[in-house]
Formats: sequence, structure tokens, C-alpha cells
Amino acid sequence: MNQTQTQTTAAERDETLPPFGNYHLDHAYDEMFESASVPRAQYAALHQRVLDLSREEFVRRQKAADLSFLYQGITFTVYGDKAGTEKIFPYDLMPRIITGAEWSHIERGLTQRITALNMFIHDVYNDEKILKDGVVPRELLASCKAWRKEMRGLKVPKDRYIHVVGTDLIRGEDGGFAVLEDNLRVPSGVSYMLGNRTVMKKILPVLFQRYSVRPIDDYTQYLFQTLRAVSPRALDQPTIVVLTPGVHNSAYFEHTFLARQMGVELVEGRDLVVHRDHVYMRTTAGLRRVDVIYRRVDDDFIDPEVFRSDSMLGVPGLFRAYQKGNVALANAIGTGVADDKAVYAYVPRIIKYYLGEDAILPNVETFILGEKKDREYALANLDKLVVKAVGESGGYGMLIGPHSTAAQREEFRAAINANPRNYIAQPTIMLSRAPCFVDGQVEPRHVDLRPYILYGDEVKIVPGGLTRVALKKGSLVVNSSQGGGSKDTWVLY
Amino acid sequence: MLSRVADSLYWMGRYLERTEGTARLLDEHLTLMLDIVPASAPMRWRRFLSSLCLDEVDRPGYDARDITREFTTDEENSASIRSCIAAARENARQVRDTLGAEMFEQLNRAYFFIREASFDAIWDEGPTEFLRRIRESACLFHGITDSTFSRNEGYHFIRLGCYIERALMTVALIDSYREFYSDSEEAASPTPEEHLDWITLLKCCTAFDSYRRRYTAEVKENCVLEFLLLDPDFPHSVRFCIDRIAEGLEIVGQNAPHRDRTSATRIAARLQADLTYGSIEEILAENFANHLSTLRQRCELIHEKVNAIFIEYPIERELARPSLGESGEFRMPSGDTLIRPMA
Repeated sequence: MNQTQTQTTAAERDETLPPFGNYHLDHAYDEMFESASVPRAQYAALHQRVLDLSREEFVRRQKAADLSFLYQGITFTVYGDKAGTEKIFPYDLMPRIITGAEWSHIERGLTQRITALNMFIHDVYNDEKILKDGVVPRELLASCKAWRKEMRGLKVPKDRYIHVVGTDLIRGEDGGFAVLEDNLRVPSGVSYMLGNRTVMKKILPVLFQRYSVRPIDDYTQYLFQTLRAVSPRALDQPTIVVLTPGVHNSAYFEHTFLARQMGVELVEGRDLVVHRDHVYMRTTAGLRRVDVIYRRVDDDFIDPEVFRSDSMLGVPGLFRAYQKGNVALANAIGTGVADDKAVYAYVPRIIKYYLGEDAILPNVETFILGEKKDREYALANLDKLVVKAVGESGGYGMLIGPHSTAAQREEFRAAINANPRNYIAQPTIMLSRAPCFVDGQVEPRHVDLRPYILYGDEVKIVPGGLTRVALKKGSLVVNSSQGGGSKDTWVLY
Repeated sequence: MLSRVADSLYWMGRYLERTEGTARLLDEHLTLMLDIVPASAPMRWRRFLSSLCLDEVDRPGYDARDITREFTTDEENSASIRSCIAAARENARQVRDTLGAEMFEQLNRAYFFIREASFDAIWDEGPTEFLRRIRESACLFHGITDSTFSRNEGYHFIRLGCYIERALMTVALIDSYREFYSDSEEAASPTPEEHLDWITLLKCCTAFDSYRRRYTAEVKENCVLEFLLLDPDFPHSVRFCIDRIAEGLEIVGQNAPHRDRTSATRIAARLQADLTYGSIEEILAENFANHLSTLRQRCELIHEKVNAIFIEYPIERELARPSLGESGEFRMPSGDTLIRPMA
């Protein structure tokens, strides 16, 4: 696999060009350089190392990293790609570096946000105080596909709904971090974060040693503790399983990885059976009771008795067992009500309502197209905005105004007018850019950051997270399912 | 462990054994073809195809190149080495979390190796090196497994798969030779070409050196058959395979106290007794074809029992048991804790 995405021909590419010869700054915040050829303090050692290593050396190490990923089978499914089911997860060798101070700020902001969102979810499925107080419009929830009426009044262990969260952060032109979106249903990518770190330590050990990087290896241990904390039976060793849709799911590698790291069973729907409102798994020794399910199957598919009846991935009767409190699900059913893109716009108000605080991490400016004024503005400015379909994930159902054709804009105009509540719009944010090794040179590419937050007895955030890269020059789409890649994220002490 | 996982491990074991066996079979037959009269090649290729339990043993021209392609890189042939490795790897992929990282990596390497291989290059260089690498890949996998895999339930299901497949392949191979020589006259010692055949049979079972240590260089039909069917110490003998199968069934059978766990061990144990106390003279005095056929059936029956007891048991039968519910827990064996039947 190679990352050659540049348009230069062999003739144009100067073999004697220094590594940063093609690195041109623009108005996007640059993670590495504060001005031309002047690296920020935290990138100084990386800058020097790149200059010290020859181009051949870098290419050799990139190839070694590629092989490492290939042989380990760290692959990803790209929907719609002709190449088939498996592709090596694209990866860039240059670490993205975050200072300790920057991270502290992020950590506080995320802790605050997740705490408030969990309270919100509990409220909308129980007393609905925030709706009654008119802080969030009731119609918004009523039209939210992810809101599940079956969850009303259902008691979940420790009132914890969101155990595993991936929140996407971007860094704007002023260098400040903002939240782009929350992922509270089935967030993925943590295995790539862990895989990246393993490979980095092997491929660039000298560089790694020059920095004091905070470790992330504890993630699966914390995940295990989080899951154990919500077991309905107060056992020393409750039975925890990871429920996967199976090998054809794009994140299957991650499911196996996490199950193996935690030392728990990886099951598919067909391995589980519900009897008298208890969940069992089918083993060679007979049926074994299950306490906690870390489920990587969407609400829609998880129980054909209650949700989609055509689902082959779920367990008939699972919701019954859940209702009776005989099994815990992480994350809970119906958490999508809080990561709905229309609800996103209200999150700062949600934080204020439950915690009495201003949001430490701001939202990106968002127009709610279900509201007339916002919709009129958006329709008049489609070529400048990013329009997103609420409830879609993975970068699909999105219009990137400045890069769109007139035909695409018309398509979206029609869709918006047909179902305005289904869309939000945001100004095109110039995502920050970080150095990537591209075809023998170092060039900037747009990145975002997805930290992973665990919420068991307390909030735990592993330092860093997945830095996602839009590998195509100029592209702003970082999602892995559409061909984005990732970098290791180094949070310094 | 999960029934589905046990099933995948078992089949992974079977496909790996099949891969190794097919590679060896093909390699030895290609070598054999160099030493025999060309006119007799077709018969020997038919024998090769028959030993792989294929129904269709006719091939136009019995061309060595075509047959080699068919059984190495041909994707369309489900019995090709490529298909077998792909099947082994697919089963492994389904249960990746159970295998060690090194085990899966090794299988992945083998898979990519054969997937990228060009048959023309293989044939031009001479297929021996390619086939050796295939065998080496399989052996490497077993070596890594032996070294890194805990001797837990999963391990025993893999071994069961390997030994059941090995037993079946060995019986089929012997049967194909029996058929081949059924029309020939009894000879005190074999003709030069027959001599080569028996050596090839031994080599297909990795048995040539061990045979000579046991019986000297004189290759006699009775001794070869005795060695391959009844020898207790040689890893490719049918007796050895059944011994390992019986052991494996005892171990995994501990986990199924409430089902008819003895039905599988009983079949294996009786087979074991026949192979332990049988003599080759008695076996050859009777209908040898029937004997081999029965042997094959009994091995296949063991496979069916394993499936019925551990994999595809009906839920309804399990749920009907009164001991299920809060008190009806089955504890997984950890170390020395065995599962006892519920009261």
C-alpha cells in the first residue's frame, strides 16, 4: 500500500528536494509549524529526526509499518470500494503531538460534556424535565429516529447509559479545540489507536524515546472495569461478552481485538439464546449465563422481536431480558438520542442545564435546518456550508459546499425542503493540518481527533485518541470508511 | 467454549492437514513421474486423484502441468491447495480472538503467499520448491501452535480436526493403492516400478525414513501396510491418529457430562482396540477393501458424533433439562476444575 496522492509527475518531483520542501502553509492551523520552517516547540525533535533520516530510510520504515499491519491483519472494510472486503488500514508514520496543557483542557471539557449527556439521556427517558422546561424542543426528540420509546422508564445499572464514547474534536484556525460531533452509539477506531502505538514503538523507537509520551495501553483494562461495574449480578467474575455482527462488519478486527485483550468471549447473535428472560450463550459444555454485553450491533438490529424483525444479527428476546434487569448492555439502547446531529446544537445548553456551567469545549457553529431562519440562511449559502444528514455517520449523506457541483447542491436543496428536520449545516471548518509522509516528502494533511471516553464508575479518558487524516490532498473527509487514514497521537507529560 | 468457535477450530485443523497432505502427495507424484514409464503415468495420476477422494478421476491427457495447476493455484477447485488454505484461513478469521496473534499471522502469511503466486512462475522454476514452502507453512503453524497455544479446549478441537483428516487421508491413500494393485499378481518382491510405488506411498505419509529404521530397506507390501495402519509410534499411521483422537475425545468429553459423551469415545476406543490388537496378516486375509471402507466409515462417524455432541446439539433438548436457571450453571473448567453432572 502506498500513500502517493500527489499530482506531481516523476519529472516534476525533484529528487533532491529537502523533506519539507513541499510543505506549504495556508490559513488552516498547522499542528507542526508556527511559521514557515519554524516548528512549534513540541515538534522540534520530530522536525530534526525527519531531517536526519534519509528519504530512503523513511520509505523503508513506512514499508515495514505497512507489512506489520498487513501480517497482523489490521484491516478495514471500505464500502463501495471495488478492491474487495479487506484493505490495510491506511496509516501515516508521523505522530501528531499534543502538549500536556492542551490535553488537560480537552480532558476537562470532555468529562464535563459526557457527564451532562448521560444526565440528558436519563432525563429524556424518565422525567423529561429538560423538555418540560423548554430548553430542548420536544418535537426534536419526537422526530429523532434514535429515540426509543421502549426505553422509557427502563432502569439501567447505575443510571449509566453511555459507557463508551468517541467524541470528534477539530482544531480551528485559531488553534482552539472544538467538538465536531459525539458518537454515543457504537463508536469504533480504538483498536487502530492501540495498533498505531504498537507499530510506532517498533518503527520509530529513537523518536519515541526522545519524547515523554503518556501511555495508552491501559485502555482495555479500563474498558473491562467499566463493563464489570454494570453487571446485574454482583459476582467477582461476571460473564462479559462482546457482541459482534460478524466477520463482514467493517470494524470486525476491532471486535476481536478488544475481546482478546480483555480476555472475554466474542459472540455473534446466533451464539446467544434467551430463556425465561435470561441470556445464555451456546458452548460446548451447554448453556452459560451472560451478564454484560458490550454490544457492537446497532439498536435497529439487536432484537428482531422488538426492533427490525428482519435482522439476522441480533438475539430474539434480548430486550425482554434487558427490561427485567437480567443483562446489562453497553452502551444502552437509545443513546442515539443524544448524538443526533440536531440535538448536537443544543449540547452547550444541555451542559448549562444539568451542571450549571459553560461548556469548556465549544461546539462548532451549527444551523438547525428544521428552524426557518437557519434553513433560509443555509439554502442561500449552500456553496459555503457543510450540510449533514442527521443520523448518518461515516461521512456519508454529506454535502461539502465549496467542493460540490451545482447538481449536488440541487439534490441537497430538494432533500432539505422535503425533510428539513433531517439536516444541519455548519460553516466549512478549516480543519488543522499535520505533517504526513507522502511519496518521499512531508506534506500537510487535514486531521481531526477522536478521544475515547469510558464512563463506568467514573469518567476515564485515555490520553490522545485516534488522529484521523484525510489522506487525499485537500480532502476534508477523514472517516476511515471512506478512505481516510490515521496517525498515532502523542500526548506529552 | 462457544460451539461455533469449536467448530471453526476443528475445520481449520482439517483444512490445514488437507493442505499439507495434498502438497506432499502432489510433490511425491511429480517426482515419481520422472522415474516411471510414461505410458503408465495416466494410471498413476488416476490413483493420485482417487487418493484425494475425488469422484471424477478422468483428466484429458493426464498432463502433469494441468493437474498441478488444478491442485495448487486453481481457485475454482475446492480441493486445491489454494482453496484449502483459504478455507483454513477463513475459519481462523472467524475465530481470530481465540488464536494467538502469531498463529493467525502465520496463516495469513501462507494465504498471501499462495494468493500472490503465479502458476507459470511456479511451473517454470519447478514446483518442488513451492510445494515445500507450502508444507513448511503448515508445519510452522503447528510449531507456533505447539509453542504458544495453551492446552485448552480449543487446542484439542484443532488437533481433533487434524488427526481425523489425517486418518481419513491415510486410509484413502492406502485404498487407492489397494485398488491399483488389486489386479496384479502376488509377487514375492515387487518389480522396480512397483518398488517405486511403495516408496512413493511411504513418502506421501512422511514414512520412508521411519519405515526403514523399523523394517530395513526391503520394501514389502505387508510391512508397508502394517506400518501405515498399525504402528503405534509413527505420527502418520492410522493407529497413531486414532490414539490421539481417543485422547482428544476424552479431554473435550469432560465438558459434556449431560449428553451422551461416551458415544464418541466408545467408537474411538473400539477402533483403537482393533488397531492395537489387530495383525496385518489377519487384515489382509480378509476382504481388505471392506476393511478399509469400514475404517473410513468409523472415522467419519467419529466426526459426526463430535458435531452432534459439541456443536449442533438442539437447544430444545438443553432447555428441557430441569436444572437450568439460576442454579443450573455450568462452570467452565479452569485448570483442574472439572465439570460435574448436575444433580
